[in-house]
Amino acid sequence: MSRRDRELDDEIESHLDEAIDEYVARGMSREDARYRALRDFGGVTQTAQVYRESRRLAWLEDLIQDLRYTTRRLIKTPGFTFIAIATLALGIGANTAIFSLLDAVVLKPLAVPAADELVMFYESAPDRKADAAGGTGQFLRFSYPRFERLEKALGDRGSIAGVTRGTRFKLHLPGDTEPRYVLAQLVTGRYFETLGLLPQRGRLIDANDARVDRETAVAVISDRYWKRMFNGSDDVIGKTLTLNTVPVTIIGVAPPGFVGLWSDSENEVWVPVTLQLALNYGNNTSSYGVTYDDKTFLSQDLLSWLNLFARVPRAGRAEAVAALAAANHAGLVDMTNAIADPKERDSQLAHTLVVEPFSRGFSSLRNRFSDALFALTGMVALVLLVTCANIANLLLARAAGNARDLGIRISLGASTGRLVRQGLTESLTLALLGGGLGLALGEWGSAYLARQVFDSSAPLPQIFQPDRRVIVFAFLMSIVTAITFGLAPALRAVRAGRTAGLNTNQRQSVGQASMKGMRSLVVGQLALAVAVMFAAVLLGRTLLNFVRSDPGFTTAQLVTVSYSVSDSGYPADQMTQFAKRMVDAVSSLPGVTSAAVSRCGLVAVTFFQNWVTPDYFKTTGIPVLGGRAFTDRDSKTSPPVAIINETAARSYFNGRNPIGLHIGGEKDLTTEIVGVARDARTQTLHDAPVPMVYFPADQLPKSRYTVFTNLDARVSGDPAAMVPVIREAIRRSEPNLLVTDVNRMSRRIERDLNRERLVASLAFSFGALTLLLASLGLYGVLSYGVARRTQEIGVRMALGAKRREVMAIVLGQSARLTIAGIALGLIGAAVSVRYLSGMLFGVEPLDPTTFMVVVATFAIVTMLAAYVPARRATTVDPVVALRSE
Amino acid sequence: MVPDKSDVLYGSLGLMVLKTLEALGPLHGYRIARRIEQISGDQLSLNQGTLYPALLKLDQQGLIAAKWGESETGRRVKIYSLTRAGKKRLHAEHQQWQRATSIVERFFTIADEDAS
Repeated sequence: MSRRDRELDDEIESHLDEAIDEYVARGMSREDARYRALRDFGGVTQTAQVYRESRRLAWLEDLIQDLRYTTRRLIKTPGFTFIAIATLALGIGANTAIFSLLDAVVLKPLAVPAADELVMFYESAPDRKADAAGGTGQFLRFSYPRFERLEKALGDRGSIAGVTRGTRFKLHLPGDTEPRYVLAQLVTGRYFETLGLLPQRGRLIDANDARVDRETAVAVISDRYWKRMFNGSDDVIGKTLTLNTVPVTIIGVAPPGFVGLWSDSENEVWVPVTLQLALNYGNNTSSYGVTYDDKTFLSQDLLSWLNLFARVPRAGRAEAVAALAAANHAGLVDMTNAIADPKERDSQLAHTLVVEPFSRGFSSLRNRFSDALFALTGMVALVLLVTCANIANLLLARAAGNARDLGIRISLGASTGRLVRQGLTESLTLALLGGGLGLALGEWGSAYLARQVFDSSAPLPQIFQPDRRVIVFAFLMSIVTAITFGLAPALRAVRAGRTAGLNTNQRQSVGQASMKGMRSLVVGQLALAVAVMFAAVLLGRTLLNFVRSDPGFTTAQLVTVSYSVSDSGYPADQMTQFAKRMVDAVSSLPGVTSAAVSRCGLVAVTFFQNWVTPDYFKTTGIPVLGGRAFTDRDSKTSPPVAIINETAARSYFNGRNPIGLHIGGEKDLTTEIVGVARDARTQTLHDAPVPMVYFPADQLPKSRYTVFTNLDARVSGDPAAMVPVIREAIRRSEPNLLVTDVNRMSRRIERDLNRERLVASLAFSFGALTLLLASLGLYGVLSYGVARRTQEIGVRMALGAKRREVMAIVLGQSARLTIAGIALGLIGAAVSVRYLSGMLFGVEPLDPTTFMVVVATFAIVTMLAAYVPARRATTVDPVVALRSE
Repeated sequence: MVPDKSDVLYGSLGLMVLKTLEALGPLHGYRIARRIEQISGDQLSLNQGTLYPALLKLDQQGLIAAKWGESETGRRVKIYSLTRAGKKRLHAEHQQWQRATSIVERFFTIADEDAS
């Protein structure tokens, strides 16, 4: 029984007692008085029930009434309803699309329980600045002995694990004719335990599977891989996968949704780290000049190859971090004892252990796109604000027309709260209808955008699948939107209604109040549109500058091939022969002018040294400015030579002519510089040229870790047509080679610029949309103004005003609003554009040309928007206008 | 918010409650019931129980306000009073009522003149 039910009982009881007292005072017996009182009351329980029901139904009744009223009104004004829902769908749809992208790439946590307890580790150089080797100053990989040390230091305060980067392993299945590859990672024993994962089938790798004293050949496969390769069948447990000729037994299937720690590169198979030597794993390692081709990595302190992460509950985190940092330093001290070079030793010892939250895992997409996506989120939020202003404007115009109706209802005693609630019901209905449509639009749009972000032929990673978070976002967005555009007009409508109720002749002043609100909304809209457009023009010019920039090599007529010899099982001592075979196979093709094999490809260089075959400079079009290019005579047995680029010449030789000088290690300055090549943006178009040293391919050191990865071919015809021809020629020459990409160089450059392209095109769409909405708003306000001032215009015309003068009134009003909007918008743009400065190229944030372009665009478009109402004003017939008084 | 047929005012009980509270000031339920019975004499036989749902509805519409207090006999009772919105509503209804009756009144007068 509720408090209010009890209260009612109390109230009825006192009522009856009062009645009984009165009857008794009139001389009745208590018995009779009670009987009479009850009869007068007429059914106590019945009353209580009616009372209760009406209390419960009241809000529902109100809601139904409001909804019915809303529906009636929306159906009565189909134009308004359509425009409101359509603009809302666009606004909310654009926001939903950008949010689901932001969510997928930046926000979504790993698919593991309590992901916020996860942390990751890296070593940081003291100044956190790029080191000589061009790194980021963050060292993410650790040696196995270091891992063991940290594991011991963490103790039972948490759980720590290590994992390698995903590597393609050649996989053999019975009946295969072509080589098949699987993406696999090596993990330490408590990898799955640390992540808190449970198997979907079978069991997961545990500490026992990764004991250093033996090699346990077991594997866990991912859900996606299980479904694709084994049709999700239960008897997969116990089956054998042959990875690089090593048979491993499948012991379990990871839970659905778990794709490893790199969310944009989904892993398929996990095996224990103890299989490193057997699998011949050696990718993504850093070793201080030492190679370990035939020894297990597990005992090498100087070899870093494991990414480390841990689960540490928040409660004891600070303490655990301190213990780990101390243990890491002790590890560094031990390790550096083995380093001879004192400079290298000091630089290593200066490293400190950094612990960072790791709930979202690693993602190269996040590193590339998160700034861009936040900028887009900001812009698209402005789009929604402009949308809200548009609808608020429409509602205000309508409220002015409804003032009398509302006035009557207020004077009949309708409470303010109730009327505001009714207005909000209407706004919410519109917003939810628009939001529903927007969600559909947004999911369609985000699927398209995901493809732009994930620019690859590989299947889209699971992070891009829209989930409940996106639906919740669209729903909340609709509600916030409804309040934003609905509350002020609802309040104003009620206030206007109150005025109208007092004096129905005061319509003029009501209209004026609405008009003032509408005008400020339009100025706000124009200002927001200017800011968005300003950003769009800056980003557009950035893209153009990139496209037009000279990369330093000739991009047209160039086809580029990426491959992985280490994943294909080529022995390191056959690189020279391999390079020759590749160059011969491709350069002998009709249509190919020249071909060259290199250690690193263009727009993909990750090192500052490159080993290239003789025709490299001719093929890529990087001119050798002084000295000579490499020839066939630069071989394994000839004296070592090198070509350096201009930046290297400048930064290492201080303007001296470097040709004929020698470079090399600390003691052996044996490599002679024979040429200087022009600077080229070989890493990415985004970075300025870096110092580069080229060596002849034949002089490649014999190591598993320095192998060729690229072939460039200059073609005479259409490069697109040559792509399949070159692919086939390579397949015939090297049937076992894992070729990852054959493409036109122009396509690779497009891919390198996909972020700029995405951001610029979206910013332009948002700019155009806000400009359109703001112009519609301006058009609406001016039209409404003309309609309200019909009489005034009529009088003026009757008094001899010319059409030109009448037009000037309207155009003048438009100009005032536009100038205010542009001025505000430019101030806003100037303040906020610095958030974009990191994304711009070749254009200053406060670029005067951009200012002028934006102002001119807005001047022209707003002129057009104002022209129609201005024309309409001149067609006012004075006679008709005056009669309507 | 167009009042529907179940609205108390159409049953005029609500209107009587509002008028009673305007005339006598804050009252508790039993006093309101007795007052309405006294004013209407024997012509209105009121089931006193029906007063409470009516009071609730008026309260929900914001026309009256309720708070706990003490009756003249010292009992704990809920005391109802007229709000500003209630006063406005009462006057609006009163005017409308007068206008309606005056039209009907005039209609009868004119009809009488025609007849003579």
